[in-house]
Amino acid sequence: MSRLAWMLLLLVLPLGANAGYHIETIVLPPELRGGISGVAFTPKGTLVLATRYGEIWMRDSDAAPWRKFAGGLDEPLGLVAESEDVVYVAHRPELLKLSDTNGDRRADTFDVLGYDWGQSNNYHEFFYGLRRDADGNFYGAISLDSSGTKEPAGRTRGVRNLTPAVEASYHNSEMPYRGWAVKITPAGRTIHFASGLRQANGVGLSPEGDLFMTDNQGDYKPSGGLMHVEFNDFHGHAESLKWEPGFVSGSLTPEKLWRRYKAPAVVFPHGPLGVSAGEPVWDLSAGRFGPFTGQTFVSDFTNLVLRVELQKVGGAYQGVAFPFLGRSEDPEFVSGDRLKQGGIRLAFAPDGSLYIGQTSGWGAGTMGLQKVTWDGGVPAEVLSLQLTERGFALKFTQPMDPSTVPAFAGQGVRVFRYYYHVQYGSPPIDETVLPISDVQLSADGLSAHLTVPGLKAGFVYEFDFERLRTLRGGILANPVAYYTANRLLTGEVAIGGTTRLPRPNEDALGAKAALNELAPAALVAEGKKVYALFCAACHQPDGRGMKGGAANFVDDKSRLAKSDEQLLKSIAQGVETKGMPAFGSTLPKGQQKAVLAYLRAAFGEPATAARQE
Amino acid sequence: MIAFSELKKRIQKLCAAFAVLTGAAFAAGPESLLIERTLMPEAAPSSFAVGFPNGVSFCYDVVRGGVSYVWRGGFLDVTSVRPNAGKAVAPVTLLGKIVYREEGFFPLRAGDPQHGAAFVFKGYRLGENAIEFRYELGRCEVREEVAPLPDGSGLVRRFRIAGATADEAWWYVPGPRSGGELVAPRGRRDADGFRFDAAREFALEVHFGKESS
Repeated sequence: MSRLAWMLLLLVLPLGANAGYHIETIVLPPELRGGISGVAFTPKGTLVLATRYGEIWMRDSDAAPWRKFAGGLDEPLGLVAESEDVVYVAHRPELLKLSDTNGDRRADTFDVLGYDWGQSNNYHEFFYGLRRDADGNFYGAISLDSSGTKEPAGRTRGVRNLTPAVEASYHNSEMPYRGWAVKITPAGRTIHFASGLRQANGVGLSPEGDLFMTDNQGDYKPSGGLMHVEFNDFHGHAESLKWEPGFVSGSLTPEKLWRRYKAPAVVFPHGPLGVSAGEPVWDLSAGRFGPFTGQTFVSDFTNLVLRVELQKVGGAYQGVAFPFLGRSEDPEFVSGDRLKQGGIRLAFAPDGSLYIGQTSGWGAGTMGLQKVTWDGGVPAEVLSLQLTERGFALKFTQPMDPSTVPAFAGQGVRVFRYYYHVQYGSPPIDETVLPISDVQLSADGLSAHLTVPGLKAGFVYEFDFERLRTLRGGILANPVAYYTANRLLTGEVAIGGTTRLPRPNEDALGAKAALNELAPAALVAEGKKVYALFCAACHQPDGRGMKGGAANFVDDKSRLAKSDEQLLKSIAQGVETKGMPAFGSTLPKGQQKAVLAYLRAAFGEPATAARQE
Repeated sequence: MIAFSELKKRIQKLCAAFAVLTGAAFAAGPESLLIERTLMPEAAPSSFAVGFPNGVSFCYDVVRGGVSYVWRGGFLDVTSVRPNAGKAVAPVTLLGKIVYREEGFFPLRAGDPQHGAAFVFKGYRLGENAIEFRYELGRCEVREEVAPLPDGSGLVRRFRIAGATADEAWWYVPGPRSGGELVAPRGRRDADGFRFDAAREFALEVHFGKESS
């Protein structure tokens, strides 16, 4: 959108009169038990849901009743809704075509279109999906196993291979082609075309027809991110390679893996940008969902929706990720219900609203379906952040106050990268702050050019906009951004993307282990970040909580007088009577300890005997 | 007075209705059938559980191929595989007693009873009180309908073959079995199993007796 068009839009819109986005929780009938694992719309606009209970439900309009189209499937995790009569579903064993051939509005015929991967009784053997391209090919992701399977070999589909591809890892590819991206042709041929996936619980096609998948932090996966998946890619997890034609056991080394590793186009730093990314979708609403037309939205299992802007540099995708919804429970730009945890699926409705399918059952989360609509208000956001030859070019949705630019620029840009290793995730490493030597804010305050000397490929660039203000004096709705610079415009390309191998004799810990090794001061600092991201929305930045709700740590000293064990239990399991969610699966134990350390340091009394028990 | 068997049936129906409400098991397709693709005991993953209104249910293994066992009573307790079951791996629980079991390789053979082709599952179709499985066996496509016998004493499996040569014989070569009897109304028993000459359609019945009252 041109600058002129933007200014006209800003003049026309009732700026400030509306919040920006409205979240509505869709009330589902009791028999539709939630566990929403697929959301799609037919060309006529019928909403179609898949659930982890194995059912497919439809609703022809907002006012129409829900009806069950099919049931009995094995944990579907994606769908393509061709019509009210034909739905394609990715469930554990197969890609299935479901058809209503007798007009009774229920599927009666189920045709297997793709099945060429191994399967055992491992609970983590999912088939994530689903997308179909213009030629009718379907795309999905075969997950790894989470741990050793137990059933006798005769009870599997395919022959099990228990030998690690390189070294023992947390997630394994015991059954054929687990960890591969698959393309299933209209003729029913399954092509295993890219490897290195771990739990790619999000599959999306860009408007240009490029395939993207999300994956989560874990072994060989330093952090989550959005991957551009092409033929013959290797996306990092070694286990899948045992099924590659020509694979020779013992032939791979960590360095060989790293040199082949195609890192995420856009990294989602673990914590600030979620813990478990889901489905990516593109805003093609032509402005009906606000100012972000053409950008990508990604669900996360924590109460978070991300916004991504892709940029092609040297022919390859990379880009920037922002929080969009969920980082504050009651921000000025959001009205309606709170965003719920457990979001794994997204779909844009024909009217430009965004639907979020949520599930519990992977440790946390909530069952449900939420709808996000744009009410015409334009939140203050960084609209665009792109790499330039000398730094970064930014666009804003509202004019920025030039007097606040120096304070922002004075912070510089924090850069970091990760280890590529078999450990579970990686802490940020090689952190430095690059100076912002110059900021050229446009006369209208809607764009800026940053000059950042010392740009280097292979790093994540963290931008902190807390000190920037709009002309109206407001702060940005989401004042943080992470740009992934696998490449520079000068042609510099980083092998292994934003990772490096641990150096000889370097004690390279995984992300969780690194948290446990933090010194007390660093633990408190880490806890402060966690508190800001996950706790402050209810307990408030000053710790005074919410009347009748979240605990007030400042005025009610009994709150933190409990033992560490009791408080950690509350953090992990939640407090149902107070509406406090369980963070046991959202936050690693190290982060739970870190936030407790911060609570004690910021709001607590000196240690008591009771606490040490 | 209600006979004990009738009372038992009514209780089973009530249990099935309760199961639908609570999510312990549910109907898919025509309401007369209960269907689950899930982790069944002693079967390959994503095998079928199919329950008929008369309280007879069976497991159809999509890797081995064919009916692996039949049980009578309620349908399934699927709690162990539902989203909030955690990360445990546990097959579902049959809510009834197994009345027939068949093991071994997939028993349908074309031309040579000693050699079977690979079973490749291709889909299924729901009918009124019946389910039809579709699969490939070598060059042939087989449609196998499974329905309850009208008197509740067993199942009937009706096979329809496409792609077979006109004079080809088919065999059903059962593996180790227990709890019931196989009957082929239009086939003949030979040393290998049940033989169906030049047939494109044939049926096999599984008899395990009526429900004891």
